[in-house]
Order: sequence, then C-alpha cells, then structure tokens
Amino acid sequence: MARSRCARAVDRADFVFLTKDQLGKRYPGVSLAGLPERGGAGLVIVADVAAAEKALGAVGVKSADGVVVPPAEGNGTMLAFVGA
Amino acid sequence: MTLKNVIGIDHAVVMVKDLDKAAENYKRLGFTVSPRGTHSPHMGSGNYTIMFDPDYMELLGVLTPTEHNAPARANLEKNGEGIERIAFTAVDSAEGAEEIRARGYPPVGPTDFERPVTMPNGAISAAKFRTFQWPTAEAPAGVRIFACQHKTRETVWIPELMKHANGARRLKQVLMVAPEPAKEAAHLSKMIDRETRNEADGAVAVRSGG
Repeated sequence: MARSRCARAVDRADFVFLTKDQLGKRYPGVSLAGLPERGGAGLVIVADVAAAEKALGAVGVKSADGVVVPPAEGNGTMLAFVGA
Repeated sequence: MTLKNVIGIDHAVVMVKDLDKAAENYKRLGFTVSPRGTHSPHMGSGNYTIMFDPDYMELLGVLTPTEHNAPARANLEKNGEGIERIAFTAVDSAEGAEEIRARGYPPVGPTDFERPVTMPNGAISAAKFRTFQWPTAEAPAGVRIFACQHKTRETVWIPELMKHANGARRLKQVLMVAPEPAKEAAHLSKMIDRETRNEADGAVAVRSGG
C-alpha cells in the first residue's frame, strides 16, 4: 500500500491509436460490434492470464496471447488481459 | 519540454447508462468493484472504481443532469457506452493548469471536488480531488483529456479493492480507434509534450509516463 501513496510516473499505460480494422487484426476472433469508428475502444490490462480465463469463463475470447472481453460484454469497452 | 505536473495515465473513465447494472457486470467479469460513490452536486454523477496499481478504471454514470455533465451526456447519446475520458495524474493541478495555458491550451479549472468513502472498517471518509481539463474541444479520437490530483490517495487506493479474481494488476494500453490514427496521435502528442511511436501494423503509440 505504501507504494501507492505517492504518485509515480513509472508503469503508466501508453495510448495506442489505430483504425478499427487494425484493432480487429490485433485481436482476431473478437467481435468489435458496437464500437464507434472514432473513440475510446478498449483497455489492455496486465493480469494473471490464467486467473482471467477462469474468472471470465465463456465471456472471454482467447486472442493475441491473452484473453479478451468483447466490447459488447464490457459496457462498450474491450478488455484485453495479457501477461506482464 | 515535458509537462512537469502531468506524469502519466491515472484512470480511464467508462461512461455507462445504468451505473448499478454496469457495476454488477464488472463484478461478473471478476473485478472487485468499490462501493458506489456520489460526486459533488454540481457534477451530478456517481461512480464505481476498479482499482489497480498505479492506475484504475472508473465506471461513471449521470445521476442528475447538470451543466457540468452535459458533454458526457452528449457523448453517451452519440457514441453509446464506453471510454469517454482519460485522466492523467497531476502532481499539482494548479501548476499543471498553468503549464498547459503556457502551451496555448486555456485550462478548464482547476476544480476541487470530493465524494464520501466508506472505509473497510466502516468509517466514513472522503476522497478529495483537484482536476483541470484541456479545452473540451481538444479531444484526440473524440476522447476528452483531463488531469487529476489525488489529495487523499489512501481513500482511493484501498488494498481490499486492489485484488481481483481475474488477476488484473494495471493498465498497459488505452486503445483508441480512428480513421486517421497518426493525426489523432499527433494531436495528443502536442497536448502532452510526448513523442509518438509508429508500430509495425500502422498503429501509433504515445507514451504517457516516465
């Protein structure tokens, strides 16, 4: 907890801009239905992928070395769980 | 020169139509979701947070329409649910606001607000923030950008809220779709004084932290 009490600049997420088509190619098999052509599309989350697979069950789609929640199942936000 | 008071992505704001249903959905996805928070009255919004380290997600919903939440409501109407805003961590919002003003972006704020927090021991505390925004029209890929100074980190990063059944630990990337990714990335790059990086598949990344 002490580690979190001071704001620090390391381990911060990057922005990645891409077309919807490019996003589909990064995450094959994941439906992008409902995503706009321009807007926030999703989050890549560092996780224990095995735990994510177990917790997500049938909602999770194995894709791109991780497990992905399609945007339709994540309130309009694709959630890609990947290893560290 | 890099902004001194803006040190990386702090949280992603996911705008939802029904706040309580969205929280239940995220619980089903294996996230530990905070108790519901209610923001200051002028904001008219409520939230649930999903805490990682050093960042988090925020599920945000409108409880009462106000002038403050008009842009968020308009976005929800136009684009539906999803990532509506990205917050950076501000070291000092007052100084950060002046930094972006000096770069030609008249800031909105700084603005102070808070929400009550029930701590794990049942005590009532408060999460206090000071935020500033880049002008609303400056929205790369349609996503608004603001910065958040946490004045009470201990009431936000509560250890019990940082453990998730799905193993989630921290954000790695925020994915933004757009027909012209390079143009949108250049826009953000200019706003936060960070370089862009071309990726092999044509995507363009912008680093947010150190």
